Amino acid sequence: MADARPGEGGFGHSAALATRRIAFIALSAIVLYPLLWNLISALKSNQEILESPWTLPSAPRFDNFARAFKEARIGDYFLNSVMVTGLALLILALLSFMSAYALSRFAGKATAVVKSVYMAGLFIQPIVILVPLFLMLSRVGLLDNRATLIVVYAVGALPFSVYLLAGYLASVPRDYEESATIDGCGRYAILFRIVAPLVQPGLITVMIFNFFGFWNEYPIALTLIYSEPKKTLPAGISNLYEIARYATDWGALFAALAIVLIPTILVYALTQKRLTSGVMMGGLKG
Amino acid sequence: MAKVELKKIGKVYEGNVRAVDDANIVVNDKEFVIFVGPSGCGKSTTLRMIAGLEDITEGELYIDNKLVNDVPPKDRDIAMVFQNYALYPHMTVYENMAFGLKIRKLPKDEIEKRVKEAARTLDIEKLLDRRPKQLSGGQRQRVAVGRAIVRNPKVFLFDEPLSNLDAKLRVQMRAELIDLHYRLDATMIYVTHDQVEAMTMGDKIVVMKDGKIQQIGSPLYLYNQPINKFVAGFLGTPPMNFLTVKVIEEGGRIMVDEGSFKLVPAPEHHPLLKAYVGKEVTFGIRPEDLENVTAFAPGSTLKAKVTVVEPLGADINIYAATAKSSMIARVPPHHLFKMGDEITLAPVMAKGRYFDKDTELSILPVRWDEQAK
Repeated sequence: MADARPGEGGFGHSAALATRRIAFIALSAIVLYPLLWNLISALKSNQEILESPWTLPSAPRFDNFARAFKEARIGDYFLNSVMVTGLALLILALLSFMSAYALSRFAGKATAVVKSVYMAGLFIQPIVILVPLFLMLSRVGLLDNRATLIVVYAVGALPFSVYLLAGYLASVPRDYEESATIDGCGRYAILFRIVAPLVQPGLITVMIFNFFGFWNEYPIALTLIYSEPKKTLPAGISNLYEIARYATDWGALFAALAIVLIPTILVYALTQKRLTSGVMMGGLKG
Repeated sequence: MAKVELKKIGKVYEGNVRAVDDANIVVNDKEFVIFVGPSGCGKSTTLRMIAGLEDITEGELYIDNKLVNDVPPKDRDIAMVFQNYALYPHMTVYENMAFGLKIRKLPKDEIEKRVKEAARTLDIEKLLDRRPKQLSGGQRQRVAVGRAIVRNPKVFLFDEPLSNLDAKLRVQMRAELIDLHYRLDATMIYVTHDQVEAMTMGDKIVVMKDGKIQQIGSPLYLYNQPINKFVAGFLGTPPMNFLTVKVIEEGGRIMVDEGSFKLVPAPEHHPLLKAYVGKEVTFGIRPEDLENVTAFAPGSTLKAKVTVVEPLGADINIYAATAKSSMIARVPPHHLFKMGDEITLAPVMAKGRYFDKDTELSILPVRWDEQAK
């Protein structure tokens, strides 16, 4: 945002600045209020939520969280989410890096075909292929398996990640690799000891982007996993919501939602700068 | 240390684009050889073929009398300094220099010994813990050279290593590299487009143009005995003057006639020019071989009008023109010249060169490779 510099502009300028700031504050409030309301409600009793939804809790009810963990299996869901998201990100990082390297360094008919396949992949939303994917996996007996979910996530995010990384790799001069060749490195040593550290910012960006996607993913997780202990947070919570409709334990539901939200908010807050520069990176060089 | 030999080496890229054609070069042990030529002449491609970074399409490459066409770069025992240095940005100076040795699994204390020794040689001991981005251009250049030195290779390859430095630093690094060659007593191949670097640094120069070697020889041999108009014009600043003249015979005497003046070639050139009587040839004369004389001086002289005066301190470059041709003369700064002055110049005819107008080849006999028998 442009801050007013000393000696610059008069009343008109500061009025414009004030208007802009008010608009941004209003926008922030619109975005933040539901989040805040959720977090506050997570600390209220069921009665408080229903009777005075807009007030602060009389006393914070941390037992909501305990109940969410114990009775609604949020602990299991959370661990599943961490495992699925973490492993999917690792696999994605490895595959997209190697694939992007090959695409950016070896020109030929084969790479052109692979590029087109990735390009096509960019336009296919996972939800569109959900039914065939389900049928296929069910035929080979891979349903209700967390490993399946991990692979589906990693592979599904491949086209976008490869494009982002290939753009980044294009800006890395080949001289480093040639220098490493003369230094005595083989293909893999070049890839992992020289190129990987150079594209680290790009790799981190890819991982952050996809963290949000994997952590919050709902339809695929819901379709491919059906036994309770294997569910991830988003799928598990929907279950909780179904129960809450009849048992009306709103406090535990909001506590569970807070548990889902907090890692996302934390990751976003910590990596916000890199995310925005990542968007620029993709836009300019991709 | 080693001898590098290129036999009929050629490089053809996809789409039948020929980058290098029939290159025959012998780089002797401990020799400092410069590949020079304008951009796109194939000099870097030739160097990269020696390094193993480009496949050799045709011909044979020998390092130390061993055919290395299909030997990977790491097994050729060469080290290369790149134009943009290619220092790994995520490693410190020490790690950059040690990397090649680490990959080759040398013992740790041996690596440390070699890196420290090279750092001392290059005066970069204090920079060992820094990262490349914390270094100036000159320091990066030194580290890049250091990375090559620690390997103790048979052959050093330099790909325009000074072109990213400013003029002053370039002169300094030039001297340092000459000194380094003297101290290491190593075989070095150096690519540049800068003819001053070529003239000052090398034991031997290979002049290239359009993928073809034009001439090979010591700097002074090429300067004084260029094989064609291109080599004559490429080496030397200001470049050699080229005047179109007609060879005539007057009263049994061979002369060259520019139109506005006539010159008498040196006696040793007469027999060779005789075959060209009645034809036009290109007469080449270096700026320092055009002497400023009085209007009544005897011998071959020409009169021209001063168009530009460039005082350099030690001497003056005078741009002068006749009705037909223009030329540059480098004269001592004894006289103040003004634009529009008439000047009398006496070419040192024994230093004059003559080139066939069609083939641009030297009419005077010259060897293509000074050392070739």
